[in-house]
Amino acid sequence: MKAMKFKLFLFPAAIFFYFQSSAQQFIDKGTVEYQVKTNVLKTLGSGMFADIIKDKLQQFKTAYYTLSFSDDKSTYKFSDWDNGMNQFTRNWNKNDESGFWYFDFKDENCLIKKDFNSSIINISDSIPRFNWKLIPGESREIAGFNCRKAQAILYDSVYIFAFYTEEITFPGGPAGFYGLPGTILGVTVPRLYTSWIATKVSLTGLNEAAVNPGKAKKTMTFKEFTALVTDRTSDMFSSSDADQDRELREIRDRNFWNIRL
Amino acid sequence: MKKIQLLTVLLFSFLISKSQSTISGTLTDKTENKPIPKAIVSLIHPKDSILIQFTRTDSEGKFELKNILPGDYIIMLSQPRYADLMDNISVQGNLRSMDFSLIPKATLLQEIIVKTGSPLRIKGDTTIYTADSFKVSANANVEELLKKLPGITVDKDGKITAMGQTVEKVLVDGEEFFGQDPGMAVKNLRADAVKEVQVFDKKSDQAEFTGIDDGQTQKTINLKLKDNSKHGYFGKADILAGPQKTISNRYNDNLMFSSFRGNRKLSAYFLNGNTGQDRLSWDDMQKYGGSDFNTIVSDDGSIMMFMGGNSDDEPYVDPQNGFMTNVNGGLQYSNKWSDKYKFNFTPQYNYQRYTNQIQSYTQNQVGDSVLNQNTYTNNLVSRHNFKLRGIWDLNLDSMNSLKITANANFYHTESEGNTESTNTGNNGTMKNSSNRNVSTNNNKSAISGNIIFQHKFKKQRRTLSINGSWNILNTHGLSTLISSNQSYFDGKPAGSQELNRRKTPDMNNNNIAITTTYTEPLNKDFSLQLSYMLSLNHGTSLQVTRNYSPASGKYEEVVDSLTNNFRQTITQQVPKATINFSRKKLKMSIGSGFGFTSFNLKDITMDKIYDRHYVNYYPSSNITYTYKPNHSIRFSYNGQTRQPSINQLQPLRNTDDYYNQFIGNANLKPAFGHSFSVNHYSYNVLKGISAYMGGSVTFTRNAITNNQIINVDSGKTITQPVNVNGNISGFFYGGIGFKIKPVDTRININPALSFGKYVGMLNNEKTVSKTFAPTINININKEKENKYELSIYNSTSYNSNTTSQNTTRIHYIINNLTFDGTIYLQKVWSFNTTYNYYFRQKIQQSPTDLNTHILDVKFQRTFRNNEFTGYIGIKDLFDQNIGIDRSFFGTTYSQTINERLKRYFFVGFTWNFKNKSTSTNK
Repeated sequence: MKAMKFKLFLFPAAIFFYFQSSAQQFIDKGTVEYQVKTNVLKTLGSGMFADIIKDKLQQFKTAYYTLSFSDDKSTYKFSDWDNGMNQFTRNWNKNDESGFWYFDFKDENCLIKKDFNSSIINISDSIPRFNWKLIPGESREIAGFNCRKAQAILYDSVYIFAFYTEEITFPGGPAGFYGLPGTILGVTVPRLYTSWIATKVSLTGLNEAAVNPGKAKKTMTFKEFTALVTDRTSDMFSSSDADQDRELREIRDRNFWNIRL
Repeated sequence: MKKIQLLTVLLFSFLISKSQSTISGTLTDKTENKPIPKAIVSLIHPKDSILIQFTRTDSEGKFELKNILPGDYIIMLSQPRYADLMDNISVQGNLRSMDFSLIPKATLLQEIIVKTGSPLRIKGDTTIYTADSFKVSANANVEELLKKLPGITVDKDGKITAMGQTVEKVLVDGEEFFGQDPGMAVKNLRADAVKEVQVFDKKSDQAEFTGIDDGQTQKTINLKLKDNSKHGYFGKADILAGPQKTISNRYNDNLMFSSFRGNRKLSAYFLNGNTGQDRLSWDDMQKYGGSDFNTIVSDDGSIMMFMGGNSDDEPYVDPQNGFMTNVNGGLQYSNKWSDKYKFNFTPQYNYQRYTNQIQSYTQNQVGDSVLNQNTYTNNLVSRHNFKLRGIWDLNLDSMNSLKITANANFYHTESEGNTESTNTGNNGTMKNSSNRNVSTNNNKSAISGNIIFQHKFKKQRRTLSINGSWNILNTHGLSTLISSNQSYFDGKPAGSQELNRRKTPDMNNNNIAITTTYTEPLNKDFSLQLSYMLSLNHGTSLQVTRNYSPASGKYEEVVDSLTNNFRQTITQQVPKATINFSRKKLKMSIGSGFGFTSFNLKDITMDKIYDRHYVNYYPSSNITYTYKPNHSIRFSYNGQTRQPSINQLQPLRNTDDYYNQFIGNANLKPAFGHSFSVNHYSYNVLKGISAYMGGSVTFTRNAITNNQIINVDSGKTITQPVNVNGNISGFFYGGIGFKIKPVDTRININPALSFGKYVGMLNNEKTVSKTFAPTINININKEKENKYELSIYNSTSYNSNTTSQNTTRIHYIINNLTFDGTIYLQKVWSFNTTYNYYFRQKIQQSPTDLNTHILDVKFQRTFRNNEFTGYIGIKDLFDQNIGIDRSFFGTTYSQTINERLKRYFFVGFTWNFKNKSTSTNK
């Protein structure tokens, strides 16, 4: 009953906004371009197969994705490969190009299209809860916006570090990241060797009509999807040699997370 | 009943609604007393900082958080222009009028002296210890070294603490050593291999390369090793012994060893045995054998791996037939320098001593007559083979690469064979019989080399590659034939021939070729590939046949009709152009090559010259349409030219088999085949079903076929190759694979069909024969890890052959059933059995049942976590192993029975070793 009134004034480390004088602008619709970078070589592991590919495959795969949001709804999809990517790396990661995420935070449902082993899978479900831990006091500037830090742990072992800006009111972010009081402009998942960083936020050029889920014939829920992936990948990765087995399990888990997120 | 339930529900929901509370209030600007809109109000768990809920204030600064469970929380209010406000609140019931006010940042700045450090705090120092300064015992591991370092402690469980913090990661030369467990490196590395021990707080890998400091650090120890200390070895020894009563004892040894030090790898293997294992298994080949693989990684993401095949014209020996004793040994050395230069060197030696007893039966249909030949051959072959192979891979820079391969193979073969054969006609009438003995002694050397230079231009997809290759093949030997041949007429003996002669073949062939390929992207979807190949081939063949003269006891008298001296020169120029198109679902490629061949054969003995010029076409086109992800269909057309071989051209008779002679035809034209094929592949991920089907048909113009001149009375046959038109062959195949979930069983079904229309010549007349052979294969698999593995494979095929010679049709069914099962007990014991039932339907030509039941059993136990394995078993328990082959070719039906190694009992062990701890290897 008695709340010990303990007021704490916090002061972000960056003082860039000291000179801001105009009325605070909150953005609730627009587009954000993300640069998504993955260290693919790390995901290959060791072994004969990796050695062959290592020469052709570049260390990083870099792609650009676009998040279009308005009215608490958003679409996120592939836009382009980075110019520095060679043909082989592009083809190796061709299934990235068909990923599509649609979120509706008002009606609390989402539609996600993923390429799983070259088949397109549609997931239609309510939006699962993301348990974020706020880390106040740490922040970073991304794409010209001051972003606060938050952290989440999925399934006890996958760490996610995100930076979100309160100035963009849309509670979403790139790919399968959402649920913070502002748009997520930067995410890192060390386990997947991947980072998503916003490079550009644009208020113009948004086609509001295009922010819709589109059609999907056969859909499944997240639970069904998880069961399907677990079943298909369970016998793909195992080995009798203990060291190899451990590494193969890592690759299998990583594959799972890549698809899940 | 219903009322009570309703009441309970109401009560329950009342309680719930009672216990879920709403927090609401207003947020205002402290200095100006205005409402703050769009500010974020968050509710956070005080213990773990988890964000429970958040909302934004409306235009009047009002906010509302609903459905909050009772408890203690932290409420945080923030807006970019204001300083954040955090407060403890306790929720027991609804909390209205939670009003807060925030101080604008601008105001704060005026009041408080600004002092901000840089966003990055310097976290900890790196402390470096020099390892050699601390004394440890001779074979101590790193754990003992760490205990000696001030500031570092290791407790009884192996947990390492540095500066009071637990060390979570131990790296070796900046990299993880066999995984995440810090104990791995510490317990398994020798202390005297370490140069420095560095202690610091390491940022996460991701933070290091993205630059986003995620705040994760780990107390880390990095062991910097002295140079050349990262080394190890592993190997395998497998020894099998099988005592025998009637034939010599069986034995088989496999010894393999591999050692690595940095980028340098050295492996060796040694195989010796007489159970028919003539080469390393696939797995062992990867680890110990030379890289016989060529891999091509192409830009569209596909990878092709194929064994570099060069048979050097050696006959293929199936090690399962007959009885083979072999000795194989090889070394592999490979090294890599500065990631740019790779070198791989593999010398290998192989010795085979091979004996075989073969029974064969051939039937030729000539009009209403048949000619049956029965032979029994006894063979002994002994062959030494020495191989050297070297590969240099040079990555000159990011645009240029060079690969040089050199091979040298030396063969020495000695063989002795004795054949008894009889030819009979209708009703078993004797036509002829012979007994011959052929012994050979042969030396062969084959040297070849290859250079590939590849250059990438600045413009993407524009590439140039130059490929040069040469090979030299030399054969020199002698072959002695002693035979006695008896002819019959009307079933009665009518003359005989004795032969005793020796021929000395001496052949030499040099080939050099250079191919240049250039690829140019025309636009985003199209690319053009141009290539030009020039090849020169020069060969000589000198064969002298001499008869034995009893007077001198030597082979002196030259037999002119069987002696020959050839020289051949073949020049080929092949320009090719292909256009490739690739966009979304469609991939197409169309192109053609033209081959300008100039063929010059000089017969020195007969003083004749055959001069020929050909223009060959190599058109090809293919289309792949991926209409759905994982579903694709492919059409392709190929035109292929086949040149006649020198054996088919040279007009020299081979009369080793007196009653079956072969003579070449210098007027042979090259054959040209049109092949059309269709393939469809689909994989349904959701159902886990994969299916494929395809087929191909080939029409051959000027097919090179054999003209058999058969004298039905004497039973003598002379065969000569000729060109014919009208050959068609084709095959269709399909396959479907799926899993039956309720019983966790995988099933694969593969039907196939092959058919052909074959035009041959018999006594200078065209004969047409047709074959038709449908097959169906079924494979069923079920396994449970560490419990059992079961698989059944069954293949049924029906073969039918008709010929225009007569109205008979030869047809039969073959069924092959194999069952393979392994059961594991208590993880270390396993029992394995393989049962094979081979059914061959009897036919008129082979009226006895030739069915075999072959059963193998093996019992195995592993020790010390798979390091040792002991096994005992019996191969071919029913003593029935035999090799039987049946085939049709035109008007000829033949069946061969090869002797094989039958029942033997064996006992053996395998030892897998690798260095983990103190190694005496330096």
